[in-house]
Amino acid sequence: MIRKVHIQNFRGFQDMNVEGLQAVNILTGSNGSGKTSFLEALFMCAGSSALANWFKLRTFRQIGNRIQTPADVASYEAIWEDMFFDMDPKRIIEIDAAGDAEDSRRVRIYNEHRTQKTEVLFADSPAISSNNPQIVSEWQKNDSPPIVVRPKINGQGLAIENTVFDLFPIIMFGPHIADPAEDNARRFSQLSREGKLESIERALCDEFPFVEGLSLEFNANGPAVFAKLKDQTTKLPLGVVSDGINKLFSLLLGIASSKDGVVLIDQIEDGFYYKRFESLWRIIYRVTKENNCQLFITSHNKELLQALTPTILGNEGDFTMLHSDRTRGLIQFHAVQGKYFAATIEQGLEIR
Amino acid sequence: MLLDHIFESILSERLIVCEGYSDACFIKALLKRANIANCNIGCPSDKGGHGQGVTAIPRYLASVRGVIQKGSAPNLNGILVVPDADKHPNKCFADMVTALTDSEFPAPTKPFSVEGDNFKTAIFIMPGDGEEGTLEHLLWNAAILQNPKLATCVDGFFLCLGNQEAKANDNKKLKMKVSSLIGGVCYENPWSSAALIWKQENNPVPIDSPVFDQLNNFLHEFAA
Repeated sequence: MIRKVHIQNFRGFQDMNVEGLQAVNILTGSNGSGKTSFLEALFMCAGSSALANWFKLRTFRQIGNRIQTPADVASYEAIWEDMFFDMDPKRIIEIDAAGDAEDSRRVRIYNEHRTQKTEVLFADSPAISSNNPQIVSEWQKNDSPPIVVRPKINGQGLAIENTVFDLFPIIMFGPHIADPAEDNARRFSQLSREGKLESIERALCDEFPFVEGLSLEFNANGPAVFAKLKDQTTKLPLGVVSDGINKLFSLLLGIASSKDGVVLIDQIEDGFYYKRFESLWRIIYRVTKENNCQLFITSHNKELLQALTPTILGNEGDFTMLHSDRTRGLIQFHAVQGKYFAATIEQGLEIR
Repeated sequence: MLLDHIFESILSERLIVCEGYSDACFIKALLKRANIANCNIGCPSDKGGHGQGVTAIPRYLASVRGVIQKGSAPNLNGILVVPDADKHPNKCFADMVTALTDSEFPAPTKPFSVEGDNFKTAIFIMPGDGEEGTLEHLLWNAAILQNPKLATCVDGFFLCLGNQEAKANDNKKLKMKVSSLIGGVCYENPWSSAALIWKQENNPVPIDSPVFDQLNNFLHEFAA
């Protein structure tokens, strides 16, 4: 479990420390105060493919993930510059997620400026000078030696060698969507084979009694999770039944598939009916504990946060609220322990 | 000065936590008269969602700790808790010490004592040192000190209503008397209360009464 995080020069973070992280970490704070960037920082630690993860994150942000072969230094740096604090590619990004036992991860990202023409930097570009930048990531797990990655850019996009996909899974869910159907189907199948599906399937069917059961079926787009509804013969794709149910099941699949890992959920409230909020928390917490998983969840929704109280009470040690603010251009996170978090919710105080 | 029932931040240096809204409004009136401006006043409330009164103070203090951890009380460096003694001032003090320490605040070693250097902490038990009772004892004593005839009037009214035999304890009976007094005197706003009298022109309780001297002096000491 990640216990503390240090982020330097990544996106809006110049230098930020936060400690006291627990199994369930709820991130609150104003727009632009770094909540999503915090999730992204943790996602960058998922493995030595940090720079490829950066492009996945750009998809979440809907800021474009196309890579064009750069023609000069400026356009090369422009590919990466919004990853750096103050859009300054000369800075060194450091993300240090320190945790229990084998759970520490660290990534450094920087531009290396060569003084000698040692290798081809841009496969499609003949314009190689002696002072071209090269983006570098150094990923380190616990105290093992760092894995250094220098990605190439070619006509097909980003080519990353020397990549290790970590055994410490980190999954990130964007705000509006369930995971793609094929990811859900893959996780469904995996959990089914391992005999771990029944618990979350039962939880979903108990919460939505009109759903009798779930199965993996093939449709025109490939495998997908289908639902058998009461009083209906034909099974329907879960996403057709309900966006909210599909999203919840997608989250539960992600959590159950991330045993001993981390799941990042941005704006969890989207798609859920307010009367479901309490049971939503109860189910998510139960599956999280069953899988020794760690959650980082952002939310702006007061009703959703208020609905968390019954789940926190009696389990205060498993919860932390991380409240972010931006003061004089600097983002800080404040950790509020679960028992005080619950008390502020009970008093109806403003916690968003 | 007075925090909303649902507040977001505590911006003053000092916080005074009362049992309920009436106590908080009284303290606010005292602070205003004394020109003490560095205190916020708060109290648990039904609007806050977790009841009110002395039993709600522990959760209220926990929520204050939450606000501090959230970074929304940047200047806070002292807490004064003002509960009612009722009939058990010693137990009340012990309960408040537990409430403070449970929320990781320092607690004073004795009541009516402002302690601590970097973070001041104190417990003032209403109505005052060596006494049992509540806020209403202070209000009643201040009112009849200014106008002794009121005691005879209200006692007679109270007896006439048959309340001498009422099952309510002495503290409740005194609250009834104070309510009767306020309702009978504030003719422009007969539904006024201990919380609202400080805005009434014909308020029967003089805020500058010597009855409030001990509390006044204590507030000065706490705020200094």
